Amino acid sequence: MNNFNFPSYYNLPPFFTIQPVQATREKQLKLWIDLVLAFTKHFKKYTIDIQEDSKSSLFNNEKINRNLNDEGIRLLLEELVKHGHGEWLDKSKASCRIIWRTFDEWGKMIYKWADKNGLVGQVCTVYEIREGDLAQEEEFYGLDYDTTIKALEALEKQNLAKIFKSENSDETGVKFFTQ
Amino acid sequence: MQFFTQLSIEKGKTSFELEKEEYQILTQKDVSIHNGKEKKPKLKGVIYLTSKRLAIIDYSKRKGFSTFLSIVKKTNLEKSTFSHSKVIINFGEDKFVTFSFKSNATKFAEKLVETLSNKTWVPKIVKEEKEVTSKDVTPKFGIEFLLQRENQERDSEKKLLTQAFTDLDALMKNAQKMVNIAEKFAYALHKGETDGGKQETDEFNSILIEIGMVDPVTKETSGDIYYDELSRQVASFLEKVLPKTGGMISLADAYCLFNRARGTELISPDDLLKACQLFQKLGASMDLRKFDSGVIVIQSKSNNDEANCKTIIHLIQKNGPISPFELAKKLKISINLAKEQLLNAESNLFLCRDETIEGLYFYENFFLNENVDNLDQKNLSINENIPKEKKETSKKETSKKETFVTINGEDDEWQFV
Repeated sequence: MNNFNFPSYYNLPPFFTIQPVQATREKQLKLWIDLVLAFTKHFKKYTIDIQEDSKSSLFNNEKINRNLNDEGIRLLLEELVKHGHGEWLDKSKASCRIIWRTFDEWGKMIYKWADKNGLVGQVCTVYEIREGDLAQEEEFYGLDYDTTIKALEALEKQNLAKIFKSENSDETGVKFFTQ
Repeated sequence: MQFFTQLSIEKGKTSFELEKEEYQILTQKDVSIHNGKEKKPKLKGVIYLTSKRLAIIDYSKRKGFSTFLSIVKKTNLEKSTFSHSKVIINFGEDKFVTFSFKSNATKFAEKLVETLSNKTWVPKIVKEEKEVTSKDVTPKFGIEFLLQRENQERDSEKKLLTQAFTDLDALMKNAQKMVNIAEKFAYALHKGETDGGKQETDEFNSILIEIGMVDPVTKETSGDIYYDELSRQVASFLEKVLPKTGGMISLADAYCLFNRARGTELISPDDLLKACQLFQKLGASMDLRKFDSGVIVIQSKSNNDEANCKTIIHLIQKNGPISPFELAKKLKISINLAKEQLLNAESNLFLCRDETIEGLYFYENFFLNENVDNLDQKNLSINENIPKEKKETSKKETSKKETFVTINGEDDEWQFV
């Protein structure tokens, strides 16, 4: 679990300097996004806090003595948000929720799971999806409530589900439709 | 026009080429040349009086005519208050051409008469030497005679040198003679006849280059076409310099070199800039270039960005990441210029940077490499040249745990396991 395989470019010093030339920088940030998503997914990490995480091995390569500075991290997070892989958690932009799967992707995964378990056409609760026995083996097991709802909303847009909101969050229900 | 030869200006050149020991005396624009008394001009352009020739050039057509002063028999000035004044050049037997001047005809005629009477085309120093040898040397034979003659020559040259340096006026008068001596040395050096080592030769060569401007263009000699003429001279001067500076030189460096070559009659930075801005108009083989950072350089047209980028990439592949300082040292250019070239290669997506408190290093742009996800680090040879301090940190790291590199302690080199 603790052995994360960093990509080879992680060992190249220029990776840690935000490149001033547009085309190069775009590609660099794309590589950073790939790395951040792979890293957070590997460690089941949902948020990045600029202050706390700037010392993490994600932004610090001790082997070549290079680190991405706070400014760079902020720029990277902005880019994540722009691509739908992140959401600022506060106005000061100090920490960011990392969406290593987009809501669409989560939605698809949940639908696939519902289909597999014969839940299509029936109503189930968000609690069952997040913490139910049937979902124990799934990647979305333990996913936070907001993300789950957003994933279901994505399904709703495609007419694959309907959400029944309830005051008690875990009693919020969802009905899956056939494709 | 039987006494004239045609001149044409090659592509990339800005003016006609002066012969050995020939120097410019005066120029004047807006002059036309007529065969005899013909009304229709043969050509309109800029007239040049040199120590050997009279030439007229139409720069728009890159063509012209020249004749040797030595065959001119007589000159005549026909002044006119209302139309153009004329200078008539007679070659004897009623054969003549007319130069029609819009302005400054009198000044030109005076200078022409003076030049003709001075017979500037006769190489003086040779004449003087002959006189000395014929008067003072009792004819002898063998080595003794040769040695004595050589001593005498050296004495007269020494005298000339001391004389020249006693007073600036004398220096100006003796400039031509000095150049002759310098040329003689150059010839001797070329044949490898001196005992000096290679370094000495190189030094002397560079001095020769610096001394070699006999006819600095001044506002007096060229009047209202001063900048055109200056531009031509700068271009022909830099043609010799640019190949040695990697095809590019900063304006400041060019200013220093050019004024040093002139020695007297120094020009102002503004004059140089104005002259350089005329390069394109005059069809010079170089042009001004302003980098994004605001640095202005003179760049030879044969020198292009692509070739520069290739050179840099080649150096990086051979020696690893490069800093402006290192590039400056390798290409023998100024640090500023090296930095500009690197930045240029960077903005053309050839390079990417590693910026730390230790400095700025440039790497090959691996970001845009298609296989960036699976880079072969051996081929990139990146780890080998991370600046010293970082190597030490990584040394500790590597000794602690398993990594794909270990260090050969003595040679301080990376080895791949």
